[in-house]
Amino acid sequence: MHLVLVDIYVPKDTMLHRLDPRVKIIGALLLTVLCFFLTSIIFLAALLIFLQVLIVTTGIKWKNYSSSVWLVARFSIILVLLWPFFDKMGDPVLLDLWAYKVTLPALLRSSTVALRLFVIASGWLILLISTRQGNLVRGLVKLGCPYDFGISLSIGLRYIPNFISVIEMIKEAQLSRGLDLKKGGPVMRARNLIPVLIPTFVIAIRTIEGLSSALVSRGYGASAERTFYRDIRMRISDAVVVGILTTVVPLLIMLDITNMVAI
Amino acid sequence: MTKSPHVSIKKVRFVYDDGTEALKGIDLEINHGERIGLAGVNGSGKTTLCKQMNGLLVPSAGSVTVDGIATSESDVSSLSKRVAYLFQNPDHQIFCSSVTEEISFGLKNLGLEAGSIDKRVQQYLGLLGLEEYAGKPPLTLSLGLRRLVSIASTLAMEQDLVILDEPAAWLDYAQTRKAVGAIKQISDKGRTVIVVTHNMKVIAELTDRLIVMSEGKIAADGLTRELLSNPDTLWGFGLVASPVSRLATKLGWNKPGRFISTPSDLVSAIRTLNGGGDAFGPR
Amino acid sequence: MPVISIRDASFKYLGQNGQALNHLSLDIHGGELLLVLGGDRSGKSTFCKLLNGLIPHEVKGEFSGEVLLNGKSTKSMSTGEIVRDVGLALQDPDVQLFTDSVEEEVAFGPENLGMHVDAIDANVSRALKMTGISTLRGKSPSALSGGQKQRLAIASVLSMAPKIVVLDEPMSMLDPRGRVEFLQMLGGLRDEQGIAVVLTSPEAEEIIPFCDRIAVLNGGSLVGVGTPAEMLTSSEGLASLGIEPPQLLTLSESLSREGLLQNSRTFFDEGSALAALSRSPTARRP
Repeated sequence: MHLVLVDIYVPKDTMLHRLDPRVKIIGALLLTVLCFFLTSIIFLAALLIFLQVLIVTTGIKWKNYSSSVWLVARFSIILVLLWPFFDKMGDPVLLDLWAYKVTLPALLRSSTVALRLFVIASGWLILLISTRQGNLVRGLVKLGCPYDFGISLSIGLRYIPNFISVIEMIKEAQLSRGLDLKKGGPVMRARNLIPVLIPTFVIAIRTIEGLSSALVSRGYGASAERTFYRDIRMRISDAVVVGILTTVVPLLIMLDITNMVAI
Repeated sequence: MTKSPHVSIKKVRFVYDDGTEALKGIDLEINHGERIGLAGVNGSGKTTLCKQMNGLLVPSAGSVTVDGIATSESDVSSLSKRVAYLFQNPDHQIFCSSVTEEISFGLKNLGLEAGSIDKRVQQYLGLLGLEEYAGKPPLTLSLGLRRLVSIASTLAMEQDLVILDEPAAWLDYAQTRKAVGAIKQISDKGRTVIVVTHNMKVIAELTDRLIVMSEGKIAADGLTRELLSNPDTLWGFGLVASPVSRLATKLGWNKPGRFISTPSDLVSAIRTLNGGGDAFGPR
Repeated sequence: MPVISIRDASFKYLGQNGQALNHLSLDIHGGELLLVLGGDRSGKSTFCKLLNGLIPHEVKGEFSGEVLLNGKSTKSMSTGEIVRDVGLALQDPDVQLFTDSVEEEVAFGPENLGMHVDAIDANVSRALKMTGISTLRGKSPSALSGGQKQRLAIASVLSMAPKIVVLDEPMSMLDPRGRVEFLQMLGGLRDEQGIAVVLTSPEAEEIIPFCDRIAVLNGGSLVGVGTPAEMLTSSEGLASLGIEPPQLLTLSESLSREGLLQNSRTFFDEGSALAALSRSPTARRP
């Protein structure tokens, strides 16, 4: 069977890969915080472009990257499309359909939020693309996260693409029995999803049971003091990057708050 | 019997989204009522080829026609009225609260009326030995039984073309016998059956024609009995001949005109060779 | 002393009718390759979980009897202690991968056991070598073929330096060539490393040349245990237990029935078959 298992992590040796995972985690966190303060579309767009350039340097192939992009894109499109139901203030008015009113300033506001989503997603993606799962966990643990949390997170991330392909296979199997997902109104279509949802649920449960047995069989929790085979160490380059991040980010926030750079 | 082929595959190439070329130029014709085995190592393209026949995949180049209908102009749900596809993992299909309902699912999709559905369900419950489990939720059954349920659900739809991916997988010996028996019955009724497996014993029982795939191409296409009685050729394709076949070859008894791959083949061969009965064994 | 001694073990899964294991008693010796043969619902998988302590510690149900590991009852040990000696690889290798590199995956077990970094290094290299996947050290597990994944699953268990490796239907996803190579590797483990290997399967034919003993299960009970010659005596008997009889055994029984086999002794392996049949006058004729 052909399974297109998508790994987000790209095994390469780039500058980003060599950074200590803790630095990248802190960077992604700071970026997220930064986004909530930035209101300037130009700033956000510039930041987004900068991050995309960084992503390109990791050498990730489009096919591995595209699913994450589409995920955020779909979310953003829904956000922008639903926005005019709730935010109708400002001039000029572009479209007025009773409860649905699109105004230019509101459109700019929703676009800003969408842009923020992309920037935040890019930051975390850079972390995942350039960090081995094992190092990610070690980074989290060294920053104070309990090991259980770190390993749960990384296992979860690892099995998401698995799940996506399982759902595809279930769909294929049911379509081959004559299931028609395209016919009928919304109620019928929703009901026709049951033959896909139930096996997904069942397989999820069986997978989780299997995983937990496998974890025990591999000695998880056997020793109070867990060894880490490959360890991570901060280097000068890491310290430099941390230094840059901790000065630039507050600076940008201040610039934006004091409105020295506006739309 | 119709003169035109049941399935016609012409110059088919298939490339997956990630760039892998899974089928590199396939030309194949399958006639009505044929019993075909499709073998090859994992990754040779057998599943990809089968999925072309029910519309799950559409060729990147070339054409696939089933019953005269081009698969690229139809969709899986419509083609499912003509093509049955048994998947390897029964858990990808099972979702109903009773075995009876599970088998009825496909029949309802075909638009059959309740009376016919009940009759067929009873028929296939019996064929696969599942009568005692009729009212039970299939999800609570063991893996082997779940597989039998998915086999019953697939065969019950009685399409003319039946594709079975590893029908003996996950079944123990007794259950395999039931499944093989059921498949024999439906191919006796004239349905075209394609069995995808690398189990040479199953292929010996269920097929007349064997197609071996290798690296996206058809490497061999001939009579099952011929191909199966040549262990060296099979090993070259990454397949293992049955122990009896290997034994016969070592004894020099496997040759054109006399194909030995099952115990009964060997016993008949010895009977004819002996011409009467000369017991042999250590003196 | 046997490595594992199972004494009158019974188990019923929570919420299920019927015993999964029924008063089972069996000894497993160091350095042997034991094949556990049985049909659907014979208890093979439950048996595996009994060996590494998942039963009674992790799997919910009613357990009675005792499993002694090196003389000590598994009930009084923690799973952490048990898995140091008993390694278990489940049927589906895809549900046992926790990391994104082969090396990390094999190191995962030893890390959990708190082994010293140098010991981990040595064990990882050795496990990779024993399973023939040293060249795959830096690769991502999702890029491996089915056969390679199976070897990885075993390497991940071997690196914990257990005395016994338990494999639940390890070959179900492999193609014929893969199965042959896999069994040769297992034979090598037993021969060169003295590790006991327990493997379950619904059919015996290809495994017979590699195993020392065969234990037959049916409905959770042990039907019998012994050498292949002791256990593989009747096609009908095996078939009634849901086990596929070796083709050569069926052959020898047919030949015997027809009076074509002189001393009516049945065989199940190629060597004996060749010996019995090449003495036939007809075999000399081409």
